[in-house]
Amino acid sequence: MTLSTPILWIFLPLGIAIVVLSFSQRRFFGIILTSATSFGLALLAHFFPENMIISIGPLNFIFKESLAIFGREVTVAYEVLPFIALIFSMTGLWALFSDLPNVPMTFRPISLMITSLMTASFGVEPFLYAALLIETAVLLSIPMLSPMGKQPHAGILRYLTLQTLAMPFILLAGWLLTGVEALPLDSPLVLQSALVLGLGLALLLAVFPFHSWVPMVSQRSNPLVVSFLLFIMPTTVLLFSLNFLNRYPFLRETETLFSTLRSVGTLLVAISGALTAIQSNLKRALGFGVLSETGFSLVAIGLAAEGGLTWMLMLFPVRGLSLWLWGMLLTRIEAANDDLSLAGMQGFARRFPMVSFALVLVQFSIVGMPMLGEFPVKLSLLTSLFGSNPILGTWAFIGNLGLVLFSLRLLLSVVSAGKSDPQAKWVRNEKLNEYLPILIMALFLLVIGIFPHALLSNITETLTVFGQLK
Amino acid sequence: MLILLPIGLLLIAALAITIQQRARPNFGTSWLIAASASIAAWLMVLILRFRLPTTLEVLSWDNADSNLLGHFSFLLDYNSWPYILALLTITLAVILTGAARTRYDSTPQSWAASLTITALGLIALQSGSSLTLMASWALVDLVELIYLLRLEDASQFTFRILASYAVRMASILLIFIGTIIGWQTFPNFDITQIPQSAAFLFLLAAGFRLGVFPLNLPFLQEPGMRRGAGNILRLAPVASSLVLLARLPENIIPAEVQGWTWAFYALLAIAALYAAFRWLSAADEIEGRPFWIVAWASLAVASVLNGKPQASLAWGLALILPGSLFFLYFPRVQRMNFLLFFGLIGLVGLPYTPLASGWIGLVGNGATLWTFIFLIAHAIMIFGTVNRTLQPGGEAGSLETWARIAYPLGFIIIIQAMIILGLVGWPGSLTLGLWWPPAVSLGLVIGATILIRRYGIEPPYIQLPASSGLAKILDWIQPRLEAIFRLEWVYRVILWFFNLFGKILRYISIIIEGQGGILWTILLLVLLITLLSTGRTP
Repeated sequence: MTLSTPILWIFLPLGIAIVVLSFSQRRFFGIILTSATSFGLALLAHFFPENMIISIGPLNFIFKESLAIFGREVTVAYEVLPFIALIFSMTGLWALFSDLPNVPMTFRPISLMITSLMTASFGVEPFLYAALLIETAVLLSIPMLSPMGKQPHAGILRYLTLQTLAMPFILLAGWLLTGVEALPLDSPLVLQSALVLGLGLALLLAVFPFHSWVPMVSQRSNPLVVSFLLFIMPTTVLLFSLNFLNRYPFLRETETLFSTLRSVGTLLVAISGALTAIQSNLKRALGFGVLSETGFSLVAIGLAAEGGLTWMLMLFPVRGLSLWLWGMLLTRIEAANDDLSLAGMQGFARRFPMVSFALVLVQFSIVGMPMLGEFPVKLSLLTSLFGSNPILGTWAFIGNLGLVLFSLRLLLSVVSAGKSDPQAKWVRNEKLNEYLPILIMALFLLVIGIFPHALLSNITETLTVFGQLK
Repeated sequence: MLILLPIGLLLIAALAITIQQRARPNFGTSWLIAASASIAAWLMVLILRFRLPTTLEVLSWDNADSNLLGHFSFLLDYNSWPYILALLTITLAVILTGAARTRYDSTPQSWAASLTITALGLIALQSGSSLTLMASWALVDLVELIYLLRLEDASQFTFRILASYAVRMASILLIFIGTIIGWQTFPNFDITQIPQSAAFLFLLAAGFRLGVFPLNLPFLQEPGMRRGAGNILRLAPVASSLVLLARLPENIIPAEVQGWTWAFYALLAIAALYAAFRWLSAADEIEGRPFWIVAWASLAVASVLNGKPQASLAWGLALILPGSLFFLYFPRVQRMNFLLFFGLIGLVGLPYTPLASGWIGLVGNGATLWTFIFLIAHAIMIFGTVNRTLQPGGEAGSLETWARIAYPLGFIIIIQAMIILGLVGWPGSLTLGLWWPPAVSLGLVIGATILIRRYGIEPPYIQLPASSGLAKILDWIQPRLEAIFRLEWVYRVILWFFNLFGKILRYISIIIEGQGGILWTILLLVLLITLLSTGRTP
């Protein structure tokens, strides 16, 4: 029997998502079906044979990489499967633990739909259709960010506006780029097309000054939903952007492009770090934390010649796990405390110690504190950046301190006894089933921090799909 | 693997005590477990002296696929071995002397905590790479943070505990950036090969943790942790910072800041003098402990600045071993007071005593003004210690029978360790040293004693009459100086700037996130493009 990989990783999850959406009021059905599908597809992607043949008893399933649809072609290559395994496993993780207060019913099916569309986005030919697929994903995300029946807040409109603005820029860039391939490097059209492309990607990635929607959305929407969106969108867009570098030699051979990426990335790290440091709202800090991560990814692309792309990919799994934990913890805290300001969190650790310390730990992990998830990669990344430009290296380091400062402020707030009860004792109001997954994930982040070479190198195989960049 | 055995042993013993206390609490058995494990670990480390240096590579991230740098290793050499023996000695002393403090703070829980903290301290002391050092410091700091926060009376000290943790974290970040800078010249360097370009940051990191560089004393009043586990908790992180000092290269001051060398000496001199005065005037050893640490650590850091990092070993060990002799001496027993004189001898630095090799670090390549200031600080420390040594004690009869044996043994083991380290601690530990600095210091002590006798004051009751003018002046100055050196004002200044900076950023955020946000975004974009196109990177 002949099948195609796009059916497996794009159309099948889309179909299942529609089924889940139809029964969105059946919570456990939705959780089980979404997470089982996601984990199943992730496992399949991880163990998929290189010869693309799966034999089950007498049945032989032969898989093709491409599927033609309406004259276009969608490809899911074998080389990209490690990345697909990552995004589906993360979707499964988010879905599995989505039975939390205030998580909209639509989150599970829509998250699966977004993952399918983003999978399609980096395999569609002509690849400019990716912009349309990304825009569809953006539109789909609105109901989960602003549940039905509720007035959408200003952040949603800002998000929609800026993300939609990206689409014409990407399409225009694609159109211009096909024309400039034959032109000499000093042609003004080359610079213009690169600029248009840069603007499109900057809008998609919420690079400064297009970042304003991120804190606005993260402040008003459910943290679990926001953390998923802020993981899946930038991650897939970053990988999608490598397509341009891989395809157009004049882009990847321009040193100015890489130095600009390093500068822009550092600027984003520094600005978001400063803005995180001064936050007094935990949900807004999540948004700025993600912006800082995007900045590091741009720096990593800028350091492609030194192995930056490997580091960028190695950051994805840790970032996914950290953001999941961060989002889940904030959702739990919001349900227990209602007030997510630093002042409102006073004494919280004395009642919920595990949740509180896990929250600080996950923030330290994102920062890259020793022995935690992102430490090995951030250390190498900053070393390389410092080597190429000590000023940028210093600014990126300083920017990264912003989240450390915020975490220390948070720690002080949660351990200080509240004014109402200055002699509050330490008690644990958490049940084992509530803190066990948190504990396991915190330990796992620690294990990743110690054995990054063993646990993160699998994802770097994705780079083989970008033959020119390896 | 042999070098990890003592760590494993201590951790297993701590676990066994914890389990035993939960299952079938028995004070005697717990004490026996703690004492046996400490003795076994102490003996193991003693034997390891014959296998120096020993390296154990644990983990390396180097691999072509991941492009990652970094490795974890343990190293037992002539710099770390003396501190390891010292730390294990005070752990053993805590357990043994704990027999006399069962009515106070000596409990099976505190022994388990002592063993755990020592084990973590040993990991930090044996760090063979900057990554291992960062990891072990982070672990020690985390355990200390949790331990302190869970203490009964911690609520009133929360800010201080967090401030201390923040300073520790800053020291880890200094090692982080130091590693990044060091790797530019020597990728993946070992802890014994810290490049000169990064060495100053490593020194700053050690100085931060020791509280000397710049002087910071967040814990002037500490929560209820005094003699036993409290002593280990205070000294284990100090030991792991001191060992780093001994590993630093000789020319530590970067060429760009050579002109500011005097400022570093001045900071150290202020720290040493102030801490020495406070040790002299402290009500008891525990109140004086933070100052004791700062004073001796300042002399150790000064040795590094003088280009004699090896000499810091002698000062560091003086901080830990004779110091513990005083910190653990509770309850005081008159017939045991003579044991303290051994500690005093260990601190004077006479030829062929453990501290004799330390003087070369202070004198360096010739005596300067700073040498004399450090000598004065040393003399004040000795003066204060004489005062404490001569204080009277009670009767041994108040102790239980078994404690009458175990209690003095705890101090004898410290004195024994001082002798061992003086004889075979490291190459050059048994030396004539310089004769004149201890002579000057002793001369100052004798001179001061004669001088104060004229006012009717003499050890062990060095205290100005409350009615004297000088006492009034000192009473007025002391709290103000304390406020300065506690760095509260620095925190306030930083907080003021932080709030101002925060207000500006919040205002900008409100504008960008407001109704006209999109227009502001476009304006900012145009500005950014203009900046980039004119070749100026932000």
